[in-house]
Amino acid sequence: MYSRAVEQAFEHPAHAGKLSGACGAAGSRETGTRVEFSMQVASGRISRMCFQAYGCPHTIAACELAVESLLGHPPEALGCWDPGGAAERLKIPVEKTGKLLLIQDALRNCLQDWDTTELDVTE
Amino acid sequence: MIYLDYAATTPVDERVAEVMSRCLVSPELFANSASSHAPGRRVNQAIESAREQVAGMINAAARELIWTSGATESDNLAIIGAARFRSNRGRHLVTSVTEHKAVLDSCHALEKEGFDVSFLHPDEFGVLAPEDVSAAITEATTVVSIMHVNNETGVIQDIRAIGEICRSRDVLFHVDAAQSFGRLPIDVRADHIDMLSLSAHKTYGPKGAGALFLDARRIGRVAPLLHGGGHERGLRPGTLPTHQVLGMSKALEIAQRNLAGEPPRIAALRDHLWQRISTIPAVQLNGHEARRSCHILNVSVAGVEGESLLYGMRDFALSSGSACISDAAEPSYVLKSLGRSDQLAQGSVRFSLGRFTTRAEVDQAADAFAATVARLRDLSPYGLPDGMD
Repeated sequence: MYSRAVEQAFEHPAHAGKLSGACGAAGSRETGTRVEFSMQVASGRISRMCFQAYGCPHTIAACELAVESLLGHPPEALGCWDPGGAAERLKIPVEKTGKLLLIQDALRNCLQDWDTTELDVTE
Repeated sequence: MIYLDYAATTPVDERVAEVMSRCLVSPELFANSASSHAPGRRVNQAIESAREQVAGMINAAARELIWTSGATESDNLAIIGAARFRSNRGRHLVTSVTEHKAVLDSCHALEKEGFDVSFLHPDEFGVLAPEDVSAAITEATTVVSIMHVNNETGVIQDIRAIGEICRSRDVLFHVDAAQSFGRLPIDVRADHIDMLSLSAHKTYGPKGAGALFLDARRIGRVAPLLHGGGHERGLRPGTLPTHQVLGMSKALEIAQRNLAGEPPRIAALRDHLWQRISTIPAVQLNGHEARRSCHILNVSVAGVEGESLLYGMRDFALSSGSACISDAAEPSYVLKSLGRSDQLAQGSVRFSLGRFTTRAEVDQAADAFAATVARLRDLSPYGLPDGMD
């Protein structure tokens, strides 16, 4: 039911938490899934990024994977995160696609929040 | 893996397995019990002896017991069979929204045939008021079906009081006792039960074996659901599986013999588990604190997503609700009927304990549960519910 990659990320999420800086969220407790991302940018690159998740193991694992893959990239990369790639890597079943779309929404909201402030900690 | 899902099914007791395997290989017991030759008569004798034994455990006569494939079939035969057979007297049934799907879906099937069904709501603790049953009975009511012990919460219904009401109103009373046999005493006469469903696999017997009691003085027959032979008084055709019947009989005999000692031991373990788990903030007991079968502890955890909670507890065999529907993403309809929100219903876990559960296992489960809940709350943007810090 869960791939080894999901199990690893669920058991040992290295980027769980909350940072001061740009943030974006999507979903709600009522709908069963809520994800929140927060990040800091230094010299035009994502220097620190964290997530918080209320959701299934696939959601938690996909959040961890998203943060891992985005660290070190320009903030604009948040808008290009590929749910399909995450689904493939984590072997997420098709009925869970909605969870990945929520993560995509939260990342885009995070980018939008950063766009409004453009706060770069090196500045 | 620690098994804490005894309400879903129980492991076959070794003594039962021994009886069954002996039966399967014995040259004396392979014949068809419906055959009139000597080997057939020998098998028939063994089956009738088992029937007498099981019937005696519920204070019934042997001729009042029909072998079935399990409680689901017994529920279907009792409810649909009795309603159809009595349809000239009325076309109304009464049941509760917290019944097992075998009962609810049987009622829904009858609704499609034009029957009316009243689905009663229990209180916030899952207890059904007998007076609500009384109020729901009309001139057209022929069958009332109420389970003895709820399979998700373990809540015990007052079947004797409901039985009295049904008897006084001349309505047939069916009880699903799949979860209660071997954990609570059952006396069909004293409890005024007209039809009773029994299961073997909830009581350390084989899967695929069950029985239906039909009170001979109250209900001569039901309309059969299956056709194809005169077995079981023409009510349930099909060659009887001798090993299943003898296995069920042995399993129930052991459970009945242990009735004084085993349920209190399991109840003590369940109470110990609850004592440990109840120290976790924002954990709620589902069901009635006192009117609860010894083997079930159902809890809801605020602020924790159910699938992750179960996955975090994957070293333990647990259930998030009725095992029959646990693949479905929908929150438990039983917990919803108790007034739990979608989140609380979905974030619920059923621990069910049994004959082979030890105190060490219960402690391990409590430790793992506390750690999993804490970890998931740390991960969650909601953290602890308001006011629980």
